[in-house]
Amino acid sequence: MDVGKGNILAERIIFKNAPITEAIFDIRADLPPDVTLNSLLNVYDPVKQSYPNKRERIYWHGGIQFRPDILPELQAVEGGPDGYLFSSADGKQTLQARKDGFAFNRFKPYERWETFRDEGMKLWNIYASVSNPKKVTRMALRYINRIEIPLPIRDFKDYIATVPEIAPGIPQGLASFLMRLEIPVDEFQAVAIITESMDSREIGSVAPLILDIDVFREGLLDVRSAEIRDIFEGLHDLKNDIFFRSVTEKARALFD
Amino acid sequence: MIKMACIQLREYSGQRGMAAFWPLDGQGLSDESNQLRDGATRAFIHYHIPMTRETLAQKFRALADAWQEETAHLSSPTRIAMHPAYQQIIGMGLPVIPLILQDMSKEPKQWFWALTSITGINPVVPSEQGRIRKMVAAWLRWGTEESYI
Repeated sequence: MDVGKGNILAERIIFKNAPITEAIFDIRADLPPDVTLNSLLNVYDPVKQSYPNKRERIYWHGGIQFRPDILPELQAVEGGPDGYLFSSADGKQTLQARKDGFAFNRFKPYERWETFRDEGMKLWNIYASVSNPKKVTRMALRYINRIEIPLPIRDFKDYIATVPEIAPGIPQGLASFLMRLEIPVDEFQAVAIITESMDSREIGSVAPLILDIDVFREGLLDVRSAEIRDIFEGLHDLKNDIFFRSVTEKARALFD
Repeated sequence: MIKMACIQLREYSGQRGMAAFWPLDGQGLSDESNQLRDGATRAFIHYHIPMTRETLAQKFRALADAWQEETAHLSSPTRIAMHPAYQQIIGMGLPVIPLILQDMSKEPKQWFWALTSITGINPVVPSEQGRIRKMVAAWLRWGTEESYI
């Protein structure tokens, strides 16, 4: 399968003070119906040396019905345990073994892609050997960056290329914002979701801007396919391309 | 045990205790991930209950309750006054003065910083500084004289 390089700028710069606060290596899969929560616990044994802290993961799903002239009504809430989280003793890494797939979370400090990818693949293989998925349905990489922009800010664009634009003549100050862009990337048969936010509650001497880059690809793949690794390489290049095109030289200087 | 998707939305439109259950997306676990999810939830709620439909009194009540609840364990007046909800109340300006005075008349609270920040004055004489009930009385007297009450 062509993972596509095209015009992608696959930079591999390792910053001393990388802004990544969380990196997620996520694979969704169809598990056989006989895989239970209990059987997912078998993931623990082979990983317990490195991920000794075990927690249950609870997933709730529900909603609120809003209708004119009627008080909002809480809709039926469904959910319950859907998997386990196994965390390293220092809390820097977590493996999620769920009934709908697997995720590997790495928190700050993020070191390098190769280490992250290899650990992700190793844990995926353990999860797959326990849960025996029928097919892989979705692969995703998500990198959440926290960029602390020194105050005062003249213009966000000095640091980030993609920012909300306010029309001239309107007061230009922003108390907070949340911007979400969903971008199909045909070259990778992928979708990139870029979310940016700034929370004024945390403003002190810096303005913390969150840049969340979530790239994913859907499709049916064989669980043992070598393509999985290639696709992740492609998704990583895409993520890097988005990141390096999004931050300016001034922002990069903050990470050195 | 981790509860992944329950977000309390007590600050919105006086809808205290209302909860939204938001499906987890992207499997993030960090504070930043939660912050983005909260932002998305705020946008969702604002779509259904725009802040612009709130009355000043509703907004004040929600902020004042959040401030009181989240600073009850604090002793530092500076930290109490720097709470985001308190700062937002200050940002509401002069129209909020009658609501602050009304609240203060029911129960003495640390509204002095906000009152001085908004009005630019301090009617409390130096000998009464630090004596909460006397400070409250001075502000209520001032409020009456200035027709805020």
